[in-house]
Amino acid sequence: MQISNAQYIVDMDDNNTTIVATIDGDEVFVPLSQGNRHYAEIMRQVESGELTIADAD
Amino acid sequence: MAKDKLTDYDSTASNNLDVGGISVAEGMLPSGVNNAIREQMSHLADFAAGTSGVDVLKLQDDTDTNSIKLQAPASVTTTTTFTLPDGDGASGQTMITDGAGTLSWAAPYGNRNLIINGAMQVAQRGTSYSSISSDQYTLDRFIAFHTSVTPTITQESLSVGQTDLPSRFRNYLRFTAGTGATLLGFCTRIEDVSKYYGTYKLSFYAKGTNPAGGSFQQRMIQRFGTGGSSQVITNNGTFTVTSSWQRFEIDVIVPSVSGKTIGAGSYLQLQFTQPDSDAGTSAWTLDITGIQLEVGSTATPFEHRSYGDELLACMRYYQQIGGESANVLCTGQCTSSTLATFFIPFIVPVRDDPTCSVSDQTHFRVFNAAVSGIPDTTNMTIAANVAASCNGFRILATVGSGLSAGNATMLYSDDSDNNAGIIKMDAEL
Repeated sequence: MQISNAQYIVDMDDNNTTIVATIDGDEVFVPLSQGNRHYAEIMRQVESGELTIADAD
Repeated sequence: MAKDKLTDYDSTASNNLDVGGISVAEGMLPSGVNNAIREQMSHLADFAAGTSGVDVLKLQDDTDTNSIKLQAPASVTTTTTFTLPDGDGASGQTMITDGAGTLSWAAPYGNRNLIINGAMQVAQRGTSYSSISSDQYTLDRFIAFHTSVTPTITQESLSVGQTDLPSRFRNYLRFTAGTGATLLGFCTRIEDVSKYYGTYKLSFYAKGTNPAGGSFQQRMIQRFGTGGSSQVITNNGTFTVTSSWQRFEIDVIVPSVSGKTIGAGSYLQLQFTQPDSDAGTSAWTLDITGIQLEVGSTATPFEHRSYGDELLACMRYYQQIGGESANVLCTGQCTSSTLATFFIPFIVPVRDDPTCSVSDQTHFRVFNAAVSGIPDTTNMTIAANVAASCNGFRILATVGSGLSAGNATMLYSDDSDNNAGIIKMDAEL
């Protein structure tokens, strides 16, 4: 799974709700859910130092 | 008429005047006694061998009060022999026939196939995949994996009226490896690994050409989810295909999950692959359909489900909308002259909060008050997956101008090619 351009999206209360990222060439919106395979892979890559998630704008 | 078999005998003793034509009437010759007994023994032997029968078999209860009776229909078209199973089945199993009179114990029919889309009939994402990323879903519920070479997957159709497979099959998956390699194949994933352990039977129909080593490998992988125990791999054996369809049956033993830590997103992976030990680069093709995994050690006929039922089952893991010309997707509300908000409910609740994406954003339109479409569509963007849940998600559609805050509106896809402007919701394992 090729992941890049990961960035948090926040809600009106400034809480992180979603990660927008490019996965295998597509822009996708990934929920912060342990059961979501994309989120699990993002966090695996973050922990291994392969990926960094940017703060929300 | 001579009494030649048990069913000719009369329940009134005095009416039985002969045995197979040998008189046993009052005043019979003494020399006829032994002949009559021998004749009667031959009748019993015929009964024991199944040569002659009885109308009804009565099994009395212990007090001879009531009974169970087994009886053939009044008219039997073809003499049929049923051979019973060798011993009892497992709790909850039912008796089935192989169509040739041999009975066996098997899981009750109905929802016994643990594989979704085993007949390869659902292909929401498309029917042809040529540049496949590893771990990419293709036909619904089926994932390709590879490390160094790129295979293709297509949904193929069987010819109308074909007789190579049972009649209800219409599709199969074709996996084409232009170049062979280890760790090259495809799989499907069964939700919640904690539910599956013990003895299973895998069956499927396949044909094609084999990898360099001459066979394919079938294996199970137990993956215990985020934060769960390490995966467990079980190889269940190999199989060799020919150019003709064959049905394969493989015994599957899934190890116990006792003591394992189960995390979110766990699953049991069923995969077909070029064997680990086969690094040959020869091209190969595997055509496959009718994949069935069921509890127990008996392979039963493939459980066909309707397209509608199979589609709904697939939608627990993936749904998409759009991709058609002038296809109204949902209603919403304009929040300014350039922004509209929509909520899209899922057709069925999905497995987990899904990943959402939008392809070809310029293929969507937002109605203004005149219901004539937004004049400036080139600036329209859609931000998906705001507040996504298992039940639906919200879309923010931005346009150049022309909306009126507070007005109701509709979102529709406007794709003349019928393959763009798609909103995708992915809750796959």
